[in-house]
Amino acid sequence: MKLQDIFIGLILILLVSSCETTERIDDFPLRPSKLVLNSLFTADSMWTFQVSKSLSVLDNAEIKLIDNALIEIYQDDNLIESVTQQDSDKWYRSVSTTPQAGIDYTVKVTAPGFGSTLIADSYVPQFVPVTEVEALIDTSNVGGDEWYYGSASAKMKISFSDPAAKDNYYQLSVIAVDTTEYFYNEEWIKENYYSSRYLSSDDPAISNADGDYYSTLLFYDEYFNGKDYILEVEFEEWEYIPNRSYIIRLTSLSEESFNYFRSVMTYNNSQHDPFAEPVEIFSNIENGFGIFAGFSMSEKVYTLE
Amino acid sequence: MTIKKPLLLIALFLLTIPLFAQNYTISGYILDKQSGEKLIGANIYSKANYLGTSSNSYGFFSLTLAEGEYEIFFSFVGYELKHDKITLNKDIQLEIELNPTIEIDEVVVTADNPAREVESTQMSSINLAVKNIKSLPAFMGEVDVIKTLQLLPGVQSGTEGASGLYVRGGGADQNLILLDGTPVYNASHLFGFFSVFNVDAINNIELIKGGFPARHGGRLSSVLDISLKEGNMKEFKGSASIGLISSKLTLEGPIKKDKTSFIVSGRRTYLDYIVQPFLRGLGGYENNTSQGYYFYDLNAKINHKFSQKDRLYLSVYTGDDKFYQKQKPYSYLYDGVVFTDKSEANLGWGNITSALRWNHQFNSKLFSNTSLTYSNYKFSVKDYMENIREDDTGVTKEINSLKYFSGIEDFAGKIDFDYLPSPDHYVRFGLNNIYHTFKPGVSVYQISGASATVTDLDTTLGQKNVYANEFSAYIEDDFRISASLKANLGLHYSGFLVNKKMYQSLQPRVSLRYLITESWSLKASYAMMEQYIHLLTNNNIGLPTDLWVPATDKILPQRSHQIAVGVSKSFSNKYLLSVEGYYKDMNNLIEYKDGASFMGISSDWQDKVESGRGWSYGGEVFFEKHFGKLSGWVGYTLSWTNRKFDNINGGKVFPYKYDRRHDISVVLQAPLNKKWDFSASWVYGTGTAHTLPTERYYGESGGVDISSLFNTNNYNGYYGRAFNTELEHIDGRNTIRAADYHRFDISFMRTKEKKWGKTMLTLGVYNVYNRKNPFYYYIGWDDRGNRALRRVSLFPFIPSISYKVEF
Repeated sequence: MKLQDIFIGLILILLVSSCETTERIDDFPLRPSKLVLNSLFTADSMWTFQVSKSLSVLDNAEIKLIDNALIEIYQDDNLIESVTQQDSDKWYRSVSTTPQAGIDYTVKVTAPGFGSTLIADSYVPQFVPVTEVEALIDTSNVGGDEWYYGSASAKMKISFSDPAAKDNYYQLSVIAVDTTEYFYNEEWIKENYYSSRYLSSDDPAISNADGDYYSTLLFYDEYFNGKDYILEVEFEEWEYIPNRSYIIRLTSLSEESFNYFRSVMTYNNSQHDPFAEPVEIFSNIENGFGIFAGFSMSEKVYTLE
Repeated sequence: MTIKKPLLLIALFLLTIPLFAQNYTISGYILDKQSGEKLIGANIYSKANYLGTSSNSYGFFSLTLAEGEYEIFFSFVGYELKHDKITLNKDIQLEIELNPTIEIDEVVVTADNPAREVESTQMSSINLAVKNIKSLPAFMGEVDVIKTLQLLPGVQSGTEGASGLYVRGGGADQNLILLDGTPVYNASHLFGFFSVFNVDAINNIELIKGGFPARHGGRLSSVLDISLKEGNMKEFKGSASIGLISSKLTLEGPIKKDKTSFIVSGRRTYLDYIVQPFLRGLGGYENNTSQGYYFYDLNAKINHKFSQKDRLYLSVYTGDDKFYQKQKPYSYLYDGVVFTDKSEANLGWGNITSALRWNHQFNSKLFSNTSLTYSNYKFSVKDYMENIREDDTGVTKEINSLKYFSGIEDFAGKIDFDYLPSPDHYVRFGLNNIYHTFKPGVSVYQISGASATVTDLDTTLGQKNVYANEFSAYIEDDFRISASLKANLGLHYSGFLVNKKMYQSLQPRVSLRYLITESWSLKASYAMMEQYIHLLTNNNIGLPTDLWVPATDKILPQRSHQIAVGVSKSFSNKYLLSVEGYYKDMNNLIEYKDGASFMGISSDWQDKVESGRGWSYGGEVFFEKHFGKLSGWVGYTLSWTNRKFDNINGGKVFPYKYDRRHDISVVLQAPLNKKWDFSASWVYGTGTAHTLPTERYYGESGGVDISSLFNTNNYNGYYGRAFNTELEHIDGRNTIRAADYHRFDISFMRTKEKKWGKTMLTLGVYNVYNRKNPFYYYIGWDDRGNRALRRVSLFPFIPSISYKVEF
């Protein structure tokens, strides 16, 4: 009986053995706040900037947007516009200038309380239109139910022409457009709603292809520099609706935005995997964090027959 | 007289020497007198001229001397010295039996003979006596080979409680772990907290960290050679033990005395049986559900002596870990329909190894061993659910099942020769071929009888098996150049054929030993090693999901170069001091890319990894006391280990996770009185390197129409602006140092002699002063709701008890 008591006692100790404590590592870096700039820009649209500050991961405060920053935009070392005024949504917007494709821009941001000037460079890449879309949809599982047609698998071939001059980076999304109708204020209102399709592709160029489905695919012209290219993607239509329209959005990215999006996507995916290696998020910002990068977006609408 | 004349005389004199001094050979085996077990590494030497040799892995020795009268000494640590006068006028075959010493009073046996450490060309190695391991404090009372090795300088344990081996900055995959010559791929039970080796079945353990002789190859960082016992040739013996988490039983004995013997040794945990009533009592578990975890291992070996010259061994190891949950059929009535549910889920992994070995002695100088071996490691997950629906319309059955398998399987054949033409040369040569089957992860999904809208499915996803052939040939000579200078020179050639791609490598190996005095030696070595297999692992905690993969046309084989220099000093044959420095460079190491893990099994593993370089350098001090009432050792390691990968950490150098600047271990053993023995160990190590975020900030969240990158499938996905996403910034890989690791363990053992054998009661405490050593860290919240760096510790103060009988 005594031995049994010892055993049970020991087992109970084992079961509750792991424990957790708050650690004070003396040299855990408690960094001062830095400026954070987020700005994606495209040709002929006003510049938009969000300026905020970083916090230590151990700081309880909420991240704050900075409302007294000075943003200077340079082209070939010449100041082309200073932006100081925030809109009501706390974003800074240019007034007199818009970015143009193929030009290198530099941005410098200063704000009271931050010693170093934040600096970053980028450009708007060349616009690359989708030239053709071809779709094949397998409707063998689609039934005749009035309310639910069944599911279908779709294959889409998307054609475009890659510019030869330099490395080109892309992002692709396929967005389904559906219409909903609801009764409001004694009238029926029709409204479109949009939902990205989760895409998969066997194309070796796809950077984030690992046999899984993603709402956006990232790739660059390693295998097709300067050529006409047809990218094949697949997606599932869990609820098939005849004559549905899709927006095929091919965004030409600057190298900075490509690296940033790729790392953020990897980061987001890794958040659900406790075994995943940590992800370092790309930033092209000197003396701060964030992203300053250009893009050019092309869209083509395709309607299933 | 011209100069030609004396030269001619000298030449004539030299030519006539062999005529006067005919050489003869003493050869044979050296055994334990009580059990007939082979003694590996015993010394056989002539005291008059200090010429000698040592027994090989099968207890065989051969010593060739000039005709004459000799006093030959036979010695082995823990055994009484034996010496015989031998008149050598013909070749002599001997079977020497040594008596184990009584361990009380003067001689407490721990490790190997210090004189041999000083004398041998082999550096960076240690032979551990099983007796030594058994008397050390053990985690939860489970005596563990690998945990004892972790107490040696140059060997890191990895994370808390783990039985991983990280040798001189190398990875967990870079250890060639041989069980009776057969590679073992996953040496862990219970996620690495215990190793698979049952010490009751082990005869000898040798670890080599550097200066690898040419006979070993295929891994970069260490060779752990574990020889199983052969079974008592003289009488039937056994032992049984009961411990905190497992029980063991070992039986051995002669089938035909001095001809054939066997040994069977098994161990099984029974935590599942003990915990089961508690789980039920706690509620939340229906009575028809059983769940638990167990591991077991079983070693069996049989050997037969056909003649003095031929011997055959067959050894088998099998071990498994299994988590299980089983729900017996459970019926319930709902809305006039009888539903019956049944489910079963398993997660398991295990090894099977077997070796058939044939020793043949061609003549007194040439010995061979031919082996056929098989090794299989498998990991599997099974999830099965069955739902039966019965109503007036009939019976329908729905099955949902998922199975996942991965593993590696080897068939190998090898032949090794030992040729000892004279005391000045010990030549070894041999050939080896391994046929690998890599099974990098296959999932089988099965759905049947499901609802009308879901199609039946029976599909297999994943990667195809990869077949590869690895072969090698080697030659080495351990030869005495002069009375004080000895060298081991060798060449190891290996090749690997995978998917029509052939890799080859010729690896030079050099070890030198210079005797400054009889008890002082200076050693230096160089070894190039090539490794054709990689281990895909996250966090290196020895999860069974770790995947062995081959070098491919994209992923090159790993290669290392290691140089080491050191001194060995023996003090009055009681103490040994060894000081070594090393530098090791490793190429084509692999790591998972940022964000990657073994999850996402459908993708090609080659797309998830990056290749890079690693290097490690440092110094090790090992001071050991072998004899006397108090024995033990002190080990100290000062080392630096780094990695550099083009696409990880922005191409910048980063410290290896197990880079530890200082590592100290102190191990003591002493008898308290005639009944009680005491042992203690204390370890200290600089904190390991972790990757943690330091800052957080807003990510690009919209503002322009690219928000669908992050925020899809919502009504605003197209036109709207998403929320501000918070991102965490890491400074780089492994930039944060964990708190230092230290732990003190003690053990008391009471031995009672009985007429029929003896009993041993062991009481131990792991982590005596309850140090909360870090297992991992994360950024979380403290009790007051503040952001905080949280440390998770695993094992606090844990007492243990075990009881053993030997008969």
